[in-house]
Amino acid sequence: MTSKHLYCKLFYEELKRKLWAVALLGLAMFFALPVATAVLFSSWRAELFESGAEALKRLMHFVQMMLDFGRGYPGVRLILFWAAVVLGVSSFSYLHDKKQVDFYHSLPARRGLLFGVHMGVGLAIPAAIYVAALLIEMVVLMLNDALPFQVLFWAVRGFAGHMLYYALVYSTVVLAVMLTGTKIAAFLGTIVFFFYFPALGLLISAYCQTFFDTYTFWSYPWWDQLLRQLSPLSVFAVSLSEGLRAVECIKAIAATLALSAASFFLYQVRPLEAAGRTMAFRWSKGIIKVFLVSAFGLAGAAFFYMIQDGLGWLVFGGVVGVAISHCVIEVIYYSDFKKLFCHEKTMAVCMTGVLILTLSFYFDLFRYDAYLPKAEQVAAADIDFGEDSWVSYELVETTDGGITSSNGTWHLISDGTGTVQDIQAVLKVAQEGIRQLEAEDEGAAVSGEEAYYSYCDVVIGYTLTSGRKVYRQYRMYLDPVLQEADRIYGEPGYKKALYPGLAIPAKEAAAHTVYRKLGEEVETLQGTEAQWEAVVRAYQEEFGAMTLDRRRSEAPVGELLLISDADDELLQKSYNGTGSRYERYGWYDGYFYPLYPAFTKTIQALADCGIQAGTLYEVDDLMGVQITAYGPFDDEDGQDPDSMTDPDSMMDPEDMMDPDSMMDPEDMMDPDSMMDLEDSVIGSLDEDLQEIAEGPYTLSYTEPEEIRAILDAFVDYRRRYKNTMLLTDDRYNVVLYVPGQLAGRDGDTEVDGTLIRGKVPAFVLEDFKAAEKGYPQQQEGGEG
Amino acid sequence: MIRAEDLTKRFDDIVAVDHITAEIKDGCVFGLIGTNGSGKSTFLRMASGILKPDEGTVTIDGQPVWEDPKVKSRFFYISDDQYFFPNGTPQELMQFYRCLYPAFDETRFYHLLDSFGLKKDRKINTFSKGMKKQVSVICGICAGTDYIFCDETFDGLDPVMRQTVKSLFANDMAERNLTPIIASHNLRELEDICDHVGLLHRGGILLSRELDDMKLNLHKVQCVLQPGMTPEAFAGLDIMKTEQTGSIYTLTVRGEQEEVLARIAVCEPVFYELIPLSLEEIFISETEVAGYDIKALIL
Repeated sequence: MTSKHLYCKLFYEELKRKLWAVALLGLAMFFALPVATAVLFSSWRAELFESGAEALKRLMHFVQMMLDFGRGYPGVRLILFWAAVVLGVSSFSYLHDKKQVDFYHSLPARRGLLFGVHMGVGLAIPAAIYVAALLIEMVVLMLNDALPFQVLFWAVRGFAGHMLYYALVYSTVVLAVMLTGTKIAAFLGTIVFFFYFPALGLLISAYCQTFFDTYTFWSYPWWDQLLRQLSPLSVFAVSLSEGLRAVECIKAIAATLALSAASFFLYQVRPLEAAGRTMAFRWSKGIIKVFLVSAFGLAGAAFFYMIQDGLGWLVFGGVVGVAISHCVIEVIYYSDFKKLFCHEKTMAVCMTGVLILTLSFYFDLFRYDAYLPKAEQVAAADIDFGEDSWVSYELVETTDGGITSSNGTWHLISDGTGTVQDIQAVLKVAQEGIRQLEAEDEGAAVSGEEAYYSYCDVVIGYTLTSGRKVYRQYRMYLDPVLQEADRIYGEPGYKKALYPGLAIPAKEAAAHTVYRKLGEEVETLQGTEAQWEAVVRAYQEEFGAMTLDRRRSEAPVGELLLISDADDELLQKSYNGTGSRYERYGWYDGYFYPLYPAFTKTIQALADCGIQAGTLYEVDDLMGVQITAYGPFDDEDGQDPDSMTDPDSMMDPEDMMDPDSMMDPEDMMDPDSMMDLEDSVIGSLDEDLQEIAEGPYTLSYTEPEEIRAILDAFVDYRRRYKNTMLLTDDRYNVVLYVPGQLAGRDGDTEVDGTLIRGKVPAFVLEDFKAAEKGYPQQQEGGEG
Repeated sequence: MIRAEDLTKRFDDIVAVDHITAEIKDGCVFGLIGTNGSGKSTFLRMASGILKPDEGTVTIDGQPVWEDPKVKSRFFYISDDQYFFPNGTPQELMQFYRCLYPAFDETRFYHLLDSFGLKKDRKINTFSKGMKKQVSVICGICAGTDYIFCDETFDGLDPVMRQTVKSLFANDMAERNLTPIIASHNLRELEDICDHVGLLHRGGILLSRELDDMKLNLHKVQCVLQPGMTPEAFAGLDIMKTEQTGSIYTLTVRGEQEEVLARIAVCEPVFYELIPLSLEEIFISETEVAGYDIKALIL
C-alpha cells in the first residue's frame, strides 16, 4: 500500500472519529451564516417592500459584514477561533495518553504520516463545514433575490481570510500540544503562546512610561511591534480591524508553515514516554520557566510600585513575583506540591536578572531621558508642540465600510517624513527639555502660574542616518526656547504638514468652505467663487504667518472650514446625509481652523462674501457682562511673569506680609469680606507664593466702552481646546449675557469664558482691587 | 527472527532496560517473564517501535523496527491496557486495522467474534475487561502478521478463554508460523504454551533459554538422609535451595539429571526422589540467586 493510499484511508478513519466536531461546528456555522441571513431578510421584509433597492443596498451592507473578512461580524471569527483551539488540542491529545500512544505508534505507519493525518483532519473539517455553510447561504440569498456577483467575491475573500488565520491559530495550538504531555498543560501552553509576547510588550511599555519621563507611548517602538507580531491572536485581531493585506497574509502563511514544521519536527523527536508528564521535553522546561518567571517578576515589581511608589516596593514586588511564579511552575511541572522550591538556583538567577532590569529602569541606567543625538546623526526630524490635537488628517475608509481619521498631530511624528528643516532648532528645544527635566529632578523646577499655564508636551521624532527612528516627549516650559520653537513653527513646510488645510489648493478648499462663529450655526459664503478663493488664500497666508508667541495672547473669534474634495466626499458618504446641517458640521470639527481678530485680510474677504467676522459679538448686542474673580489683585496678573523662570527671584516670603501687597490680616477674619478659607481656591495658586485666595468677587458691566474693552480680552471656553497655548488669567470667570435671538443653537444666553493674561482691562483690575479692599462682595455696576 | 542487541532504555534516572541481548526465533512461543518493574513492557514497547531505545537495536530479520512501517506490519502489538475508540464497535476496530494490515482476514474475524460470543456492533466500552482482551486477541490473530506481542494478555481471561487463545496461537503457529511473544506473570499459563523463556530482572536479562533446557538443568530432590547426615554431605552438588520438614529435605539442585542422581546415590540417603520443577519454582529459584528473595519481602 502506498503512503498516499494509506494516508487517505487513515484520514477517513480519523474523520469518523471526529464526527462530534463536524456536528458541533456544522451546527454553529449553520446558525451563524444561513440562518442569521434568513432572519435578517425576514426582519427587513417590510422595509424591502416599501423602499426596494435602497433598503436592499443597506441590507447588503450587513450581508457583506457577515461574509467578508474583518467586517465586524463576530459570529464566524469566534466560532473558528474556538474550533482552532478545541480541534488543535483534541487532534493530538492522543500523545498525552499512554494507551493511545501505544495504540497509534505500534501501528505500521510512520510518525510523519500520523502527524499529517491528524493535522489534515483538523484543517479539513472547518474548511468543509465553512464551504457547506456558504453554499447554503448562497441558496438563502438566491431565494431572496440578493445574489449579485459581488457576494461571491465577499464569500471567497471571507473564507480565505478566516481560514488563513484559523490555520495560524490551529498550528500554534498544535505546537503547544507537542511541547506538553497533558491536556491542561497544552491549554496553558496555548494561553502562553497567545498572550505572552503582547503582554511582555505592554509590560515593557509600562516600565518605559513609568520610569522614563521622555517616553512617549505613541512611539510604538520596534520591539513592541515585534512582540505583538509574535502572537497569533494579536495578529488575527489586527488583521480583522485592518483587513486582508498582501504583506500580512504572506507573513501569516509563513508563520503557519513555520509553526507546523516545528510541530512536525517535535513530533518526530518526541519521547512517547512523555505522555502524562506536564512537559514533553526536558530542555523546554527551563527555557519556558525562565521566560515566564522573569515576566511575572517584572509584573510583580510594577504592581507593587504602582500601589506604593518607592524603590523598596519595587524590589519587594520583583522578589515576590519571581518566587511565587517559580514555585507555582515547579508544582505544575512535577504535579507535586513538595517540589515547590526545586531548582532554587534558577530562581535566584531569575530574581537577579529581574532586579537588575527593574533597577536599570528605576535609575535610568540606559540614559534614556538624557538622549540627544548629534546634528550629523539626524537625517530628518519632526516635532509636535502638542497644541493642535484637534486637527483632523487624511480620512481612510475602513474595511467595514466606515471611515477613520488621524486626529491630532501625532501623525507628523509617526509618519517620520522630516517636516522640519531646522534640525538645530529641534535639538535646541530637546536640549532645553532635558535641562528642565534634570532641574526638576534636582528640585529646582520652573514654577509659578506662568510656567504652569505655559507647559506643553513637546514630542520629537528623529530619523537617524542609520534608519532608526527615535522618539522623545518633553513636558516643558517653552519660553526659554520660544525663538527656536517659532522658527520651526514658521517653516512653511512644517506648517502645511501640521495644518493640512493650508496645503489644499484654494479653489478646491473654497468649494466647501463655510464660516462658523464660535458655537453658532455655520454661515455659507455669498458672492462668487473667486471671492471664496480670496478668503481661503488670505486665510492660508495669514495663518501661515502665525507664530506660537502670538497664539499665546490672541483668542480666535470664529472658524473657517478647510477640507479637501476627497475628505469631504468620504465624510458625506460615511454619514450618509443624515442629521441636521449643524450636526453634520459637528463631524467636520477637525477641519475648522481658528480665525483670529488680527487676520484682517481674511476678515475683509469674508465681509466681501457677506459675513461679518472679526468679533465674537458686537457691543450693542450684549445685555451685559459679569465678571467673577478671586484675589489677590495686587497687580495686573498677580505676579511678574519674568520672575517665574528664576526661582531665586521669587517673591520673598516676608514681602508677602507687606500690607500693601495683600489684605490686612484683620480683614481676613471679616466674614463679610471673604469666604471661609475652605471654600477659597487655595489650591489653584502656586505653593511658593503662599498666598491666601480671597473672594470670589462679582462685578457687572453694562457700559459699551467697558464691554468693548472686556471683549478684546475675552476667551470663550468652548474653543479653548483649539487654543491650548493661549495664556489666560483663570482667576476671572466672565459671563456675556446675550439676547435670546443671538443665543447659540442650544439656546444658551450666557457665554462663559475668561480673560487673556496680560490683557485684563485696567479698570477691571482696579474695580476688583477696590472690591477686595472693603467694598461689599457683590458689586452691581448697572444692569446685569 | 527478532533480535535485541544491547538494548537499553532509561526514563530519567531509572534504567528500565539495561543492555539486553536476546533472540526470538520464528515459530516458537517466547515467554517474557520477570519481576515487577523488570522491564517486560518496556522491552515489548521497544520491540513494537513505540519507544526509541537509548542504546542498542531491535531488528526483525536484520531490519530495524524503529519508524519502518514495512517491518512494523509484520507484528501486532496488544498492550496490557489496550486502547479502543470511544463508542467504537468491534466492526469499526476491524475496519481500522484492515487499513493498516493488508492481510487482515475479515471473514475469520467475524467467525471468531461469533465463536467467542461477541457482537460486532456492540460498543466495546460496554464490554468487560475479559471481553475487551478477547477482541484484542481476535484482531491480533486476524491481522495475519508474523509476530504477535502480548503484554499481560492472559490476565482477565477466564480459564476456558485462555485455553481457547492458546489453541488459536497453536493453530496459527502450525499453519503460518506465527510467533507469539507473551509477557506475563502467570507462569502456570506460560508453562503450558511457551517454548522459550526470557527472564528479566531489574532491567537486565537473567536467562533466556528453552523451557525444556531450563527444566533439564534444575531439579527438585526430596530425600531422607541417614541419621547425622546433612545436605552438605552431597559433595559436588550445586544446591540452590534447601528446605527441611522433619526428616525430609527438599533440595533444589542445578545440574544434569543423571549426574545429580548419581551424586545423591553415592551418599546413600534413606530415600530420595526426583520431582519435576514448575516454571514458578524455576523463576523463584533463579531470582533468589539474583537477590530477589520473596521470603525477604514477606518477612
